[in-house]
Amino acid sequence: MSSPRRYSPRRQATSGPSGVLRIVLKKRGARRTPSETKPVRLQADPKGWLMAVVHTDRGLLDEHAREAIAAAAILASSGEGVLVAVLGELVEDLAPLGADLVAVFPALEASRFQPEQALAAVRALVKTYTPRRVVLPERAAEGDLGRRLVIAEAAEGEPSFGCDEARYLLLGAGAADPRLPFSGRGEVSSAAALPFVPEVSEVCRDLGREPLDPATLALEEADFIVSAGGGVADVSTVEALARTLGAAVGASRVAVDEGKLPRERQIGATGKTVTASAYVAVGISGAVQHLEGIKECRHVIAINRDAGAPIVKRADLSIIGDAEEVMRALLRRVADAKAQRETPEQG
Amino acid sequence: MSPESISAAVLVSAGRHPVSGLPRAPGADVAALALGLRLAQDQLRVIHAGDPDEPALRDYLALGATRIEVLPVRDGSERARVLACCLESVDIILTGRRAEGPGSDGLLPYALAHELCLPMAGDILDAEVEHDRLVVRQLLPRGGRRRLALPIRSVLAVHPMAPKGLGYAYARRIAGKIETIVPAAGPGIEARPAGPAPLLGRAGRLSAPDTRSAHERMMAAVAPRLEGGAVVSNGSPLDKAQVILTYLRDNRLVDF
Repeated sequence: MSSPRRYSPRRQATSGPSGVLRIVLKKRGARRTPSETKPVRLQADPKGWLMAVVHTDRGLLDEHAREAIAAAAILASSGEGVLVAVLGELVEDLAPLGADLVAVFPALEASRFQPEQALAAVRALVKTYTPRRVVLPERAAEGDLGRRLVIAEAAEGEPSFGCDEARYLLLGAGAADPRLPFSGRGEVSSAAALPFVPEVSEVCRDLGREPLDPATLALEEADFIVSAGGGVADVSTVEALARTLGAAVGASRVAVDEGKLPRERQIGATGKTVTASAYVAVGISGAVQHLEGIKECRHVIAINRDAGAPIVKRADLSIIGDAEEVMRALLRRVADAKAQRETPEQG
Repeated sequence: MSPESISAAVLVSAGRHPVSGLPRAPGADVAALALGLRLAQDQLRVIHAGDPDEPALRDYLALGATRIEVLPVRDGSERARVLACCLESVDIILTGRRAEGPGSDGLLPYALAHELCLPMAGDILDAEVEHDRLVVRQLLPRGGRRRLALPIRSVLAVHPMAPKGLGYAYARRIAGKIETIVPAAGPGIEARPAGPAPLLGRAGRLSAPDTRSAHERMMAAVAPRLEGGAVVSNGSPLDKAQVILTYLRDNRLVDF
């Protein structure tokens, strides 16, 4: 056991800008700043594997999927690598999440219903790499795939449930911390190196997604929300912007109390908690009760006149200016963009 | 196949209220019962695998089931096999998405579909028979809906958000029958070991051990936290609108 470190009270000191003496803990040159590049966890080639299976959404992973990959990296022993099966296209680097080898299946995105083909692809990977554990986020697409995997494996005689060490883990949201002190190798496996996946015919036929009017959708389900606050003079501009962007309309408590929007549109502690991918807060200062309601939103954009408002600290992008002018400009800009997109397709 | 000749079965579970612990019918199972009554009015069988004296079963009687068949199966994973034996002649098998309670794993519809070699679809909101196929509506995360075409004979796991629309009548609760049936168990039925025992108490969040020194941890704790993202305060409204549009496009939040 090491004795506690003691510092001499007469050790070297420097005087600060206000003349106060400050003890120098370490020499300037030797001072280590928290480095951006984290050490790679695997030192040698992996002896065994742990696996994570995730779907991507528009090429990106959400928090729940990140947690599943990080959980596999945390559970891996020192000699084991982390294999990530990504279903859908991928545009980001998975090394910071501890992934050592990434197998991408761009055709198996979650937007199409193809459980048999996804099952065949993941089964082929499981058979090739024989991972000790397979971690999946417990939600619609992966929860379905994980249960199909368990049943398919049990049918082949391997006891996957019923043994002390469950092979398949379905991880609830928030069950793991995705911030890791190490990184993985992050190698992306080439398509040729992936195991052969036979073409499987689907019994269920996908008839496509149903177009839904976001205005009629419950706020808890909406993927894109444009929200109005006390700083909005004309609610019809917010509604027009929401229609143009295909978003649902939300409101802060102030806007609801002023009667600008109905009570069921209120977001926050006394209203609804939303999980949208994109949240545009127009004229909302961002009281803690409101920020609580948008805690799980992935991208928050604030349009506000006050640069010191709390929402600016929360937002990923803050626009300081008159909300009405910015909204009208955005409406024009989006209309232009849509028009430009249509012209080349016609010609 | 005419809609009149379609038979359906709803597998109902005994739920417990998450806070009070009182016996109740879980929302997903009630939605499955409602869907079953819409699809096959009087051809619907309501089946429960478990204890015949379960108080939660009376809720289903009150909600419109006239008779509940109970297969006295102990806890364990032989449920799917026993249920498969008595469901061989049924067209549409409906279940809730997942039972309530610590031991529920949501595997039953998948195991049942495997035993009976039927297709299976989960998170179902609605279903209707069109000619010789079943067209179902599936709930996707973040407000999506998808339509799927399945063969008539299939297993559907119903989502708790599916419409219920069933009235509760105390008279039906009293008048309904709960009957114990003895399955014609095949020779293949053998008890498989149950899954891992549910962990009581609160589990901690899985996180990597912090290898930093005390000094580094203190410096990280007192370092000014980088809050907020990009802030744009200069430029014309059109420039600012362009910044927003670029952000939305970079993160693939819009498709134009």
